[in-house]
Amino acid sequence: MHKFLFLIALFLLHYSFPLLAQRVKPTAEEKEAAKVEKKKYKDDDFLITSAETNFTFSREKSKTNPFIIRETSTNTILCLKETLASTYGNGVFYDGTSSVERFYAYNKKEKNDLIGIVTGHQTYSSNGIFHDDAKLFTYSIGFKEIGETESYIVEKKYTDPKYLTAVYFHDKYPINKRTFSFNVPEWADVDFILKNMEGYNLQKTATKDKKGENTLYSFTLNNLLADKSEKNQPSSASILPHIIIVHKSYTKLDGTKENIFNDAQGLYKWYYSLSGSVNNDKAAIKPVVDKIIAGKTTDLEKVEALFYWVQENIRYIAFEDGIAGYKPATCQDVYNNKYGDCKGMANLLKNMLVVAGYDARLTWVGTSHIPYNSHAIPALVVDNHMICTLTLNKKRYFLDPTETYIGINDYAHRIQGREILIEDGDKFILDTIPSFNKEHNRIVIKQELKLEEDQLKGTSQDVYYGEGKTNILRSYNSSQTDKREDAIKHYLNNNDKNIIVSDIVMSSMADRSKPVDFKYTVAYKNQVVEDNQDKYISLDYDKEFKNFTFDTLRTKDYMLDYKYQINKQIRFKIPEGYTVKHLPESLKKSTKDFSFTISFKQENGYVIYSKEITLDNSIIKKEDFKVWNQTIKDLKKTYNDQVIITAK
Amino acid sequence: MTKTKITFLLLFNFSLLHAVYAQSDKAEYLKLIGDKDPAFDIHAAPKAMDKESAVILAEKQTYTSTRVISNDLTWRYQKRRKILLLDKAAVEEFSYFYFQGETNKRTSYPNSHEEFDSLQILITKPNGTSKLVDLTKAVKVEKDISIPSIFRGSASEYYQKVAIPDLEPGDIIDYCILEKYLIWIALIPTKFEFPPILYTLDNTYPTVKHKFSIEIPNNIKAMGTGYLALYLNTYNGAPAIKKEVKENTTSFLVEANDLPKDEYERWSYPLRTSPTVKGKVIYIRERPGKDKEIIKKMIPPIPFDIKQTVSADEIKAWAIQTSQYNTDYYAATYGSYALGYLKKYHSKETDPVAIAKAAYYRIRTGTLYEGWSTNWRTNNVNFLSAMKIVFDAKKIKYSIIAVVPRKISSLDDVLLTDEIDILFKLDGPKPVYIYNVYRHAAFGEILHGHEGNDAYEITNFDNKKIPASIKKIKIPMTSASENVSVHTFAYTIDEEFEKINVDCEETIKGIAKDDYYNDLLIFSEYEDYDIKRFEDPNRVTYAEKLANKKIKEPLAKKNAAEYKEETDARKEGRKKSIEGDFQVESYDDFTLVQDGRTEDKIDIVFKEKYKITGLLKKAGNNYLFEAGKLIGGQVEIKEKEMDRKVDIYMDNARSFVYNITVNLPEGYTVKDAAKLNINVTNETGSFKAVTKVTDNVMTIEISKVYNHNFEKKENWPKMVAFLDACYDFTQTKVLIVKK
Repeated sequence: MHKFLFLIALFLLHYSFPLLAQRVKPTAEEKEAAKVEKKKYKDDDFLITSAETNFTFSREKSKTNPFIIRETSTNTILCLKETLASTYGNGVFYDGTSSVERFYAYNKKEKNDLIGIVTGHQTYSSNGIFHDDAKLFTYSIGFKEIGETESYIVEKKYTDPKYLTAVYFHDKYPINKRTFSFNVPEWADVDFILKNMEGYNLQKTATKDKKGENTLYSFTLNNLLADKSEKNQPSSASILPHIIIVHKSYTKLDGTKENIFNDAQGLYKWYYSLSGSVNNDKAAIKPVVDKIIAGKTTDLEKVEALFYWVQENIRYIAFEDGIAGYKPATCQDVYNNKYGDCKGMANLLKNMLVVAGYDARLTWVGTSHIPYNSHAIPALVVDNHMICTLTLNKKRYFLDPTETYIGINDYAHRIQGREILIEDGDKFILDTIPSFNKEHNRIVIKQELKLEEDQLKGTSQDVYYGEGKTNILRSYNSSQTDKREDAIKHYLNNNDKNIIVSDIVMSSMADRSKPVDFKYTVAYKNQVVEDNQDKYISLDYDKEFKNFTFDTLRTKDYMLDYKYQINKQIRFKIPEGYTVKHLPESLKKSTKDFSFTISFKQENGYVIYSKEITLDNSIIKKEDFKVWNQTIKDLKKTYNDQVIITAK
Repeated sequence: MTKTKITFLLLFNFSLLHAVYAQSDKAEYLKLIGDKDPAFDIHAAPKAMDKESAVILAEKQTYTSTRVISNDLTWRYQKRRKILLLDKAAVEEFSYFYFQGETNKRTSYPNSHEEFDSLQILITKPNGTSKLVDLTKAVKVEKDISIPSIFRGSASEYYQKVAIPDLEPGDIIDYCILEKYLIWIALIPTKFEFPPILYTLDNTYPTVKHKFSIEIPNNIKAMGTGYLALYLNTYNGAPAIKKEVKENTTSFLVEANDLPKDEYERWSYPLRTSPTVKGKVIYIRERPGKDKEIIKKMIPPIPFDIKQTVSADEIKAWAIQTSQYNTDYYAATYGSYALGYLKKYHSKETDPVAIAKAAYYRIRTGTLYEGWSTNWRTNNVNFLSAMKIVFDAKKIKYSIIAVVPRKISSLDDVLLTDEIDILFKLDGPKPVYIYNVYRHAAFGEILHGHEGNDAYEITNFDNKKIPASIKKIKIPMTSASENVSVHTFAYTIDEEFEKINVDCEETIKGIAKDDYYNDLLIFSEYEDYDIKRFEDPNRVTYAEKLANKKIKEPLAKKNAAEYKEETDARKEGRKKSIEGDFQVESYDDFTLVQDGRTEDKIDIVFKEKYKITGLLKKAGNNYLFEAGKLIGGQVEIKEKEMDRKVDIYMDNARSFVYNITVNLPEGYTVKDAAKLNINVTNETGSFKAVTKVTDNVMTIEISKVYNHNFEKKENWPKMVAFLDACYDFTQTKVLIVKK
């Protein structure tokens, strides 16, 4: 019974106060002003009129957490929604190295925390992570009418400065004025690196306090639109203004200087201290290494065998929990568990290669959605991935075992062209992973078609290279054995009843060294329309990109998963007794980032259809959307036009 | 001792330790789960199954009453599965092992019993070594993660997951879920029902051995004041139940071997076609007095045996008890509210159907707008009890109907009360079946899941001298023409042959309405109507207040803003729905003509306007027109579906009518429109299209009819014939040429 009463009391404590809080009704002027703002931000229900976040640094006697940073955010919210009730909701991330200390909401009348509600501490897991210690502290504030204003304060504490790495100016709501200020004491050496400030009017100040002990660095941006996510947009780090905080060093209370990330060497030193403290037991993995390389004669064969074994036998399962987010699991643990994250898999592969007698090293890299691509910025935001670098016969191979079914000389798009930090004892080696051009990922399709009983029938050969090849190998090998045949059929006929595929011959789905090659017989239904003597024929069934356009509301560049190239040639046999009456016009459009070329020609009793589409840099830039849309319109016109043949 | 010898000894010791360790893990597992069933001594799949992704080598579900402690009953449920993983896909599937709720935790339910759950997982390598999985590393599963079907349980508890270490193709995963109940008999008023058992024997993977058993001690009577009622039977070709009597226990077993994997087919009800086990265990506490007799009628004592069927009389006793002796507070309260309303607004009404209808809508209005218990709204028995109060007060004769949803069972195969729905019926020229209130359903609309199924009708249940009578009836079935969607489209092609203006009116009748309610209806549009008509005709509604300007300006504005948000969302929803079939250039207008929520406006009628593109292609001087696509996407029967293995169960017969007019630009006409004329008709249904072209106007009258809600699998080719004809129609293109 007591427990029951306690629960009721707890419920009231949590949920009743906002109902008791005094609302401050907006004045007529405030409502009018809000309506003016609403015209500006018509898709938004709230405007953050002011957002101030202040960071203060302090030293503690604690041995484990001698350097603490406290973050205090004060936000004022204006309701722009003209309905009976609406709720402003937002949240703050925290994890094992930080905590949310307080949430406090207020208005002009209520100087206490009766306005907002803490709605929870949600577990937050990003895609593909088994368990993440990151949590989202969420809160909400109720509003009743347009023009109403409420404010709140959130206090957060970082127990280790290196994890405060970057702060972003934007929010999911528009902001009139956003300020970040850092009260940096003289005992702390901190750098601020500003990113993506082009087009923004940054106000930056640095003022010393009266005693000259602290410097207040302040950064302000005004009139920020709400950041709304768009499909395949570039990463936030690539486009949104933000500040990277580089904690170089600080002086402890006892007067000793402690370096944090002074430079790339400092960053490496920390990485290396973690990876170096891993107790790898190479003896535990030697038997399996010996077994894998048994019978392999050349170095390359041995290395390939080990690389592919890890890809195929170690499942990618990531635990992002505290220091486990940065420190690799031991090679024997990963081997015994048969699972690991990128660090664990890289560490196992490295140790396997070392056991086999090769020069293999752990390597830190930031994948393509991290724009900095430079370890000149010594902060944890620079790297998010670990691979293994092998040096064999003076050539470096960059081995990423998380990329299943990738060949030894192949690199996934996400790590191509990235600057890497390779372990080298106390020092490190900087290198860059090679980039491939679009041809690396080409798809080559060759078809021989003829007309039979109003169907287009013939043969097709589809060959996939690069990323397309890896994706097919990966999908095939991860499909259920009994469903693989159907899966291939569905892939080739797009699960469309109008395409009948048979007699499929395909290359080995285990061989990463060769392209994936399908040869099959194909028949297309409903592609021919008859009109007396004439036949209207639509030759190209697939019509890639035919509806791929951007609407005017899109504000961000479009990123593709990788560079793209397709070459398709269809040789259509003109039936006996027919001549070609009409061929669609050719198409040729190109820019720096993409090109579309289609041609039709008549040659030796055949209509030859050739198509090449390339997306050279895996990006379609916003400034090119107009050209792109016009190109797709022209492409559609070409696709829609028919080859017309007529009886002689 | 030489170095070599030491190494050898170390290695020898290590292997020995490893063997002992491995052995001890398996032994520990068997000890923890308390099971040494030899059926699980299987380590390889039959040759015929080696192309599968995984094979369930052995599976069992056992319910065991292990012992009696003084006056309490201990009940144990065990589910054990041993699965051989044959490929990487299976390894990935079991990479994360999901399980429900907490394990190894005791939970007490103060008024009845205590529960204890446990889970153990053992991985066995191809060389025979085994290892227990450490479950302390389990983490909570985020809400939005979907749980693979093989792990899914019936309850909607939260799940945990654990990453299974050292898993490779060839490994065997053996896991066992154990639930123990300790039932405090003294606290049970009349009976304690264990969760119903209802499952198909086949699974995601083929199964070599499947075993189900209920085991009770032979001294069960020694408990004193109660007995266990065991309901158990098998259906759809599942093996019959075997009884095994041993010295201390009696077991009831279902054993099946070499079960193929389940492969869902379109329009099927697995519980009607796949081998199925159905059962339930109920502990009945025998107490002197009236209750004892009632319970005995409903659940007769059957010591040391199982009950494999339920008689009409048992269903009768249960249905009468449930619908006539419910003492729910809200049922009584809302029944008397309904009576008060009838007295005030329908005092002179004598027609039983009209009275029932008025009471139905009054109760619906109460639950929708007056804060009546929403939980109560989903409880059919409580609703019926409220209606009983009305009928008794108005001296209206009615009958009780006991029916089972088609998806679950036929009436003859009913075994558990959990399968049965109860409703009332009013006789008359057209009998009326009274279902629980639903936000949108009009009075008397039959739940489509019951249509055409046999049911029991119970009458005379209130006569104390004569026993109630019971007879079999059939719940009426709606016809294809009663469940029709009529789509009237006027398509106008623009002069540039790019865009097509669409002006359409749609009338949706019968069960077809179910698919439209949520997309088309907005609460605030019917709230005022409902209140005025079914609660208080004199109440001034919001709309009236607004019209009279008696309401303050800001509130009106806020209402208007909220209403606009809802109507915008409806338009956006409609646009998205149309985008499933067409490239929508713009969605311009929506009008709801009729909402279909009451019997006087029983159809949903709405109009909309929009523009589409993508159906016209330039072909020399002419245009190719994908006219077949004008009826939107249609069922596409894939090659794989042609070989039908089970009978075809659909929710209802239904039809679709498309009245299409295509207006072409002046000077153009359609050539070869005759190929749009199709007629495929057979006993299962039909697809017909009749096309006419007059000057620059083409009309197409189309109908697609599913005649029944059930077809034998032998009729599948006939269904495919008209479905394929319809799909082929959608692929048809015609030429638009200059006249």
